[in-house]
Amino acid sequence: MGTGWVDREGPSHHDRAMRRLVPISILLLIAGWIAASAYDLPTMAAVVAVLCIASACVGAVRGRAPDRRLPAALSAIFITILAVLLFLLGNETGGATGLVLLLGVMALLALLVPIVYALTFPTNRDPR
Amino acid sequence: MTLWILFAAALVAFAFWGWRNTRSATAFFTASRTVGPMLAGIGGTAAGLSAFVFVGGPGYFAAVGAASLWIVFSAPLTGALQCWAVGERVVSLARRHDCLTVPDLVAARFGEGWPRGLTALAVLVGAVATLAVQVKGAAVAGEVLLGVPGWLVAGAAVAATVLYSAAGGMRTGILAEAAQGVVMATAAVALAVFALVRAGGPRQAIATIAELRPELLDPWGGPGPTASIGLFLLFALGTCAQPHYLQKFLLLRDRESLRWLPAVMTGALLAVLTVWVGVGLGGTALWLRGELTISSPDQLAPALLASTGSRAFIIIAAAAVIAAVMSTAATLLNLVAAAVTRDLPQALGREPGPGLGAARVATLGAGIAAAALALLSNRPVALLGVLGWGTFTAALLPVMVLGLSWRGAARRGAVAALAIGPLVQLSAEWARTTGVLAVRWEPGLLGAAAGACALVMLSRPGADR
Repeated sequence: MGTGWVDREGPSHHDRAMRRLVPISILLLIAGWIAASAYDLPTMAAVVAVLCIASACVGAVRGRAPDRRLPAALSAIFITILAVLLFLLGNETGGATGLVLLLGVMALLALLVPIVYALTFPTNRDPR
Repeated sequence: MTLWILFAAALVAFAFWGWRNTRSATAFFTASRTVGPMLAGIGGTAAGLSAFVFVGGPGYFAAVGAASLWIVFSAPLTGALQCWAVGERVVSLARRHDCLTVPDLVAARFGEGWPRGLTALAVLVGAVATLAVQVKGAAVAGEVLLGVPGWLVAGAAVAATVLYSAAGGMRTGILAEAAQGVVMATAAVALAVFALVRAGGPRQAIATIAELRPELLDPWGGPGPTASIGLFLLFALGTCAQPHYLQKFLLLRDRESLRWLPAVMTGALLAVLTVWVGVGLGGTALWLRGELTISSPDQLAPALLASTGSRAFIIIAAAAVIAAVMSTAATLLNLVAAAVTRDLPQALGREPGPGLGAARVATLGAGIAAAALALLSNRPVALLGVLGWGTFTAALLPVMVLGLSWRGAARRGAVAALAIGPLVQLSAEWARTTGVLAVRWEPGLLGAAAGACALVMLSRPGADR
């Protein structure tokens, strides 16, 4: 077993920029989450949740450059989730409407997300 | 009785086949990397979904209502998210470094010693806690559904799983898991339809709840909006840190298998999760109308089935719950065996012993430890499930998602994350149980956040050089 399998490749200018950007983004997300939990701010929690999920996919999105279909599809999906969460929060949607809305969006995402993944999977190269 | 004898004979034959065909560590821990997307997707979903879904899920719906669905809401994302966030890197890393276990992956990225040892320790603790959930789930199902002592059903399920897992490792494990996944999905859909029909259809079920306990239909009820979103995030991101999911990437025969893996996983996952929504909604409506009597939320699903009086239906349900228990247990037993016989010795600088004898004995030991923990613990199934999931999330999420994708992540940061994450999670779990910490603080996420902070702060450029 070796160590630092990624670092051995040598950092590019882009990598050096990412090294600075990644920690700042992570710390901001964590600070946002802690603030949302401490002061019970559900809207901030919703925004942080969606950004956390989106940022977990950044590496894979970079691996598919210059294909822009995945980032575009992902953005649409995450904006949908955020919109639903914020709609539910903003309107305090309850009862049957809230339940049907949740289940409906879930069904839509269940169709979209795996198809987007399969269609944008790189065919002839390592995703990294 | 004849059916049980035939089943036991088939089980012994299957275990014997596994014993004969499993001769190396690669075969025992990764099924010789011969698995395609269909088998890995169905088997992985079956391994990931435990008795928690069949017993804890509908029970959680009865306790907090629609707010429980925030856990289910993460389901459409988890298959693709796992592949995007960790799967592609895991497959790539496993092929370059011949990784057989999750601690192997961490060691390949961050070096030997502490990274491997702490990962193995987290896998060991989390896997035994999650195994205990399986034992407890089988016991609840046995007592309420089959009317036999819970320990007897739990003991039989664990013994059967230990038998084929110790004999063939993941070579038999993945085949059994895929078959169990099909049983679970079929039974889940049947049970959901049955519960909703019995309650007069979805509209009637919702109308009943709206009339008698309207707060149960509030998506933000129960633990509150912030905590509900916390559960959504825990189960969405947390899948990237569950070793029983990650292990399936190590079994894949090639990188192309990843393409349709999310589709298979999502389909299988949603089919099984219909039991959460259908039985949760239908069962709760029946309970509120007084047509069901339960003493705790965990008894909702078993009580609904017991009330039918149909022996066939009860056996189908019991088979689904026991399939869920066994599928998850097989992978967890394999993970514990790997941690004890390969990863912890390697972390201490010792080479793993030759042959598979130690791994087989460790599989047996893990089964006994989990059974003891389950029978001694008084926590409900759902809470034990969240505890195990949270421990994996707190320990492994920072190193698996951030550590594998971020080039700046350094060894000392990874070691700190692996140590601090579970400590914060277990402390927060204790503080929340005793009322010191508000319920909206999700312990698994808090631990993962602390671990990610440690990883980032100690990995500043040049920190390791």
